[in-house]
Amino acid sequence: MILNLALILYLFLLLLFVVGNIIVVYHLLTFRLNQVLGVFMVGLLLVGSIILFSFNLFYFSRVDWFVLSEMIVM
Amino acid sequence: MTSKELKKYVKRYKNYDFKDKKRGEKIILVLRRHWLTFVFKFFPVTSAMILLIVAHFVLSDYIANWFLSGSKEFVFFGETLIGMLLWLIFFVLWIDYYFDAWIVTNKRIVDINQMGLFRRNVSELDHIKIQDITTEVHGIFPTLLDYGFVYVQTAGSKSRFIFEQVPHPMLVRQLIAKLQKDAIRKEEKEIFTEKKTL
Repeated sequence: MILNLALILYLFLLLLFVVGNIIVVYHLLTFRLNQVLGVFMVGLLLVGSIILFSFNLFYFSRVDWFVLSEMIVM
Repeated sequence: MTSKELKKYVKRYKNYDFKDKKRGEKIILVLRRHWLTFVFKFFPVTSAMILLIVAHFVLSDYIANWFLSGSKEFVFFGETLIGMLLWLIFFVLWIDYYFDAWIVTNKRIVDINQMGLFRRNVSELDHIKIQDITTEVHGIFPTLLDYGFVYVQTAGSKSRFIFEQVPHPMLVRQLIAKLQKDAIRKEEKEIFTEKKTL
């Protein structure tokens, strides 16, 4: 039960992160005042997001979720 | 404000562009809030990021051993998840700061007001409709770092244009006043030539 709830919450946060990224990129690319800076910020956002997301997925795969949930229940 | 100084401004913003820019329109000034307001706005997110990094090096062992029987991976997983959300919040705040802009061109003033991610107000004002320009520098930091408000009273649909916490408000006022005088002179000249041809 706890595992399912945690997984749903995690998926919701991931969805929020991906949608947020898309909206921010859209804004940065459509605001034409200084396109060089806009493209730079898009690059920075995407590089940072990809690095953080990869680390997050890496640690997600390393955690022993069943042991952890049992520990929390106890 | 001389014509030479005006030309220097035009040169600086040569590569800038914005939606609905008219043909022959030249950007003279692009204004945003002073960087100190940016610092104040970013302080909570930046400090949370710093805290997260410090906690990673100092507290992660302690938390893992004390609460999770040595499951360091879970602590790192949590840290990266919080990091991801802070990273996104940082960019949303940056958009809110950076997209609030006042553009002064040789023909008009454009006020772009970004509120969150999904609301943007854009209003414009021709120089000829300007009635009065007032500046206000209020407080310790604004006085020391020379930033403040510029109020432009208009005869248009939006009665007052407010440049909020912009750097060098006196200079901005001088520049807008010069542009307004130029616009009035130009219109008077056009009326005069029209009358002459009639």
